[in-house]
Amino acid sequence: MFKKILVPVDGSSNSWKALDTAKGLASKFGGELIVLHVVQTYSSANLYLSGGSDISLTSENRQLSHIGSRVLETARDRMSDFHGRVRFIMEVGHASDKVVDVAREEEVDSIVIGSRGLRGVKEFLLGSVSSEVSQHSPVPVLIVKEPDPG
Amino acid sequence: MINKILVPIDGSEISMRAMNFAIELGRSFNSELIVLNVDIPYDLSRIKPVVKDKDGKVVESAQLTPLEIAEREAKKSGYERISFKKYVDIDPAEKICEVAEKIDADLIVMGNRGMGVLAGFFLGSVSTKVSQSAHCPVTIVK
Repeated sequence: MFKKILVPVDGSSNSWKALDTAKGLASKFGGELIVLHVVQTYSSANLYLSGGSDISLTSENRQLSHIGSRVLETARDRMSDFHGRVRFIMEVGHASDKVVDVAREEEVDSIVIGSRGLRGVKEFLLGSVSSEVSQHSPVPVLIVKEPDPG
Repeated sequence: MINKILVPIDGSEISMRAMNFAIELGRSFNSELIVLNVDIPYDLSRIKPVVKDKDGKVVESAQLTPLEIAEREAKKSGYERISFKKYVDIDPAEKICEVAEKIDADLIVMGNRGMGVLAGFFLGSVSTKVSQSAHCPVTIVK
């Protein structure tokens, strides 16, 4: 339990909260951490919608990967006081699919993820990465959230 | 770090796995466990038929309520800091969040499925609703 934890981060404040929680748990249980960032690239379907060219698509995607490395860089900074084993991974693809894939490949025993906290109609229409992950994950999922501002 | 863990259960196998997960976690943090069962009123599908053996005698063990199942399971683990509560409410997810807030739980641990995949897809499962609306972190056990 909490010996090998997967933490997907997207750079949002909730994901940093998840990282802090995972760090606490890993320290407590002497576990290993895998920090994952999934780059969601634009596909040609988006291209038709925006009316752009292939070239702009490639440069947009390159920029997204660049942002991804920055997110992992920030994660690395935040983990500087962690003494256990930690790895940083960047993947390209659909966010919740990749999270579940990596969880299986790495045989983690838990996932700690931030909740975006969508509600009501929005939640119904869009779903959220955290709830998709919690439905499809092979292992327990800890959903961390920011307290309501109100 | 984790002083109070709320464990909503429905008596299913997966909810018992969630409870055992919470007990393991509780051992590491010496936390207080509150096991909760929310019954939906007028839900006839939850009433189990009387099970009889081949001589026509009623088999008692088949009629355990979710909380009785949980108490029996918890006794096996020998964990002491555990209490059991029962509520009746039309919206289990809302009640779970309400209780979590009232007792100031640090964590909710629950199973991911009660209704099945299809109903979960259309209605949103209890665990999804709880994980979105609860004030505290939620662990979904598989």
